[in-house]
Amino acid sequence: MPVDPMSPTLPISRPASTYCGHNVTEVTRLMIQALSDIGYSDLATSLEKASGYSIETPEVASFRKAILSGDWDDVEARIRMLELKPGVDVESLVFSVHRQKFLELLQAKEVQKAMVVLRTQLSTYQSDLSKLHHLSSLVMCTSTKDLCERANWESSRPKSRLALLESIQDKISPSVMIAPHRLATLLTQAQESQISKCLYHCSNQDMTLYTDHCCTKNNFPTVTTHELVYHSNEVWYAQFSHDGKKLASASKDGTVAIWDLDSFSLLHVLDDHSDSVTYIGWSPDDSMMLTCSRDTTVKLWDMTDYTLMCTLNAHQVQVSSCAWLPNGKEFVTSSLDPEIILWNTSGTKLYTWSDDRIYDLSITADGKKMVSICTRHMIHVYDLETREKTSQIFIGKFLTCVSTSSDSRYALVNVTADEIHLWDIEKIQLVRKYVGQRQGHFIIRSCFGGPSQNFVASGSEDSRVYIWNREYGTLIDTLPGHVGTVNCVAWNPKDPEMFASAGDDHVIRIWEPKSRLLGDSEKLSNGNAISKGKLRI
Amino acid sequence: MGLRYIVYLSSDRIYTCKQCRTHLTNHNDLVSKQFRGQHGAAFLFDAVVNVAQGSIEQRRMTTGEHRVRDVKCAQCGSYVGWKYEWAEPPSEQYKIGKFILEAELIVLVSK
Repeated sequence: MPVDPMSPTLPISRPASTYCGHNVTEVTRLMIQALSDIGYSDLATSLEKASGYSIETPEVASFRKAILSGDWDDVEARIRMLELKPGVDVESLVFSVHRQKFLELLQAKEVQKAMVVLRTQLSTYQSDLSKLHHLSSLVMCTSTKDLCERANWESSRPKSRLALLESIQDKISPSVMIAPHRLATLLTQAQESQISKCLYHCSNQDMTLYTDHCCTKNNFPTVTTHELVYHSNEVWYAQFSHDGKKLASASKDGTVAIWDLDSFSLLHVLDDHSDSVTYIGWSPDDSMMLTCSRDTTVKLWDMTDYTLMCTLNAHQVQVSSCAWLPNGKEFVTSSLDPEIILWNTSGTKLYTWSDDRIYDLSITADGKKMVSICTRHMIHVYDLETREKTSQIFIGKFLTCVSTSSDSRYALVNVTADEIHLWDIEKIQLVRKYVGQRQGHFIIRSCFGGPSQNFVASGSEDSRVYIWNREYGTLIDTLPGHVGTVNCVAWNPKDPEMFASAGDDHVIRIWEPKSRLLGDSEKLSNGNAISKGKLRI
Repeated sequence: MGLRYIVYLSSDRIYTCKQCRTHLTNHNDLVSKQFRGQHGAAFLFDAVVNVAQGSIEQRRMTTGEHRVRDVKCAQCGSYVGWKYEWAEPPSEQYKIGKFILEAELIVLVSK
């Protein structure tokens, strides 16, 4: 019979019956586990003795040892004696143990023995025949790599056994076996919850377990620290380089300006389009840039020396958007003509989708999906591997921009009038709406921002920048400053305390925390940093 | 102003700008073909898209006093017609808010 750890064998004086409302047994066992995880195994043992609670019973300890050492007969014998969570079928656990044994034998090229396991042990598990058929098909695998991929299994023996242990542990009653690093899991959850409630969360640096976390508004970018002035007409789009060191801005004046974010000075101007530039795209390694124009061309630039690599004359009407694949070798461009074209960097057409007139598109960070919005008020999701359209969502209103989150799961879409929708593009569900910004006639662009993309920011036709908490949809701030429509907001991917906004007033404003502005103005009064762009206080 | 894309109509019969083929209106929005413009025959439509409107002008027409705005293609800037803002004779007031496109300056595109 397994010993129940809930009834201590050595009843010693019990200081309190609850720990501020928490179960003393649970808390003590977690502390023992934590002490032993940290490396104070002596203390853990003393605490076990003093309290009379044990982290796990000797049976569980032997079970763990048996799995990690691969003593499968022992494992099978012990697993039937463990206390399981209600509703867990012990046979499914036995099956996963046999599966591990089978895969290890296959990996070791002991096909005969593996076949014996398959025939005598695995075949007794009849409740899911498709699993069984899949396992028997693995006998045909020629290489370990092939085997691991098809079985979705870790090739390293200690890792795969640990994974098996953890999957079984999940099914065992927690009173017998605590989940690994349980206290750390709880602490992480507490911190994540604090972060999600932190309205102005811009930095994880000051996180401590001693006090509740809360960022002050002082570190939140609410003031314009620099105005970047070059363009002679409306600025329609801006994008930070992936290293966060440069900003590129596209204007109705037909030029693209490249700005250095150390000195906030103009580095270069790309001036080769005969009409307005509507969109730009830094390549993943920032070595190249695409510029899309109303003159119907897309130009590919070498950003190391700002030379034109090629001009793509494929679209019939103005080019609306572009996006790079994560490999940096291919990209797509979209137009209202209506085509989306997949290119390589030599300027060769690889594929064309001609379903809809596209206003904007985005490729997910994992490179698996492409999300586009069209003139028929729909969001389209494509699988880039099969190049098939997998979903299409009818919104029924004029859509102006789309961007995808860094985890490749969500798409942010501006909807006229005055709404931004966050869509889960895996489940095809509307997750949240952000409201407040004004948009009725023009292409207004939004973005994710912050250290864990915890903000949503957007331009607006009322000349303000709008920022929401992504999780709760709360409007955090509206920032005045521009004159006329704010067309685009872009958040620095490397510096969560900086974003840029581009406006009809020909100006790009750089927004940073107030503290940085004070630093700059001190420098200014000392006469050291006059070259730092045009400063407005 | 900001960036604005031209509107694409989805219909079997679309009237477009003769210069740049930008969509201007649907055949369904046609009210009457019995009008005259500066270039001959002209059509009255309920609604048009992708146009820029000029300032209000007082104009004396064969049917009486009217206030109108000239209408240009938003894409290429060609003059295509006008919009009625106000009509003095009560019999002509049905035209208020509607658009005239000159037949000579537009092209019907059928699917």
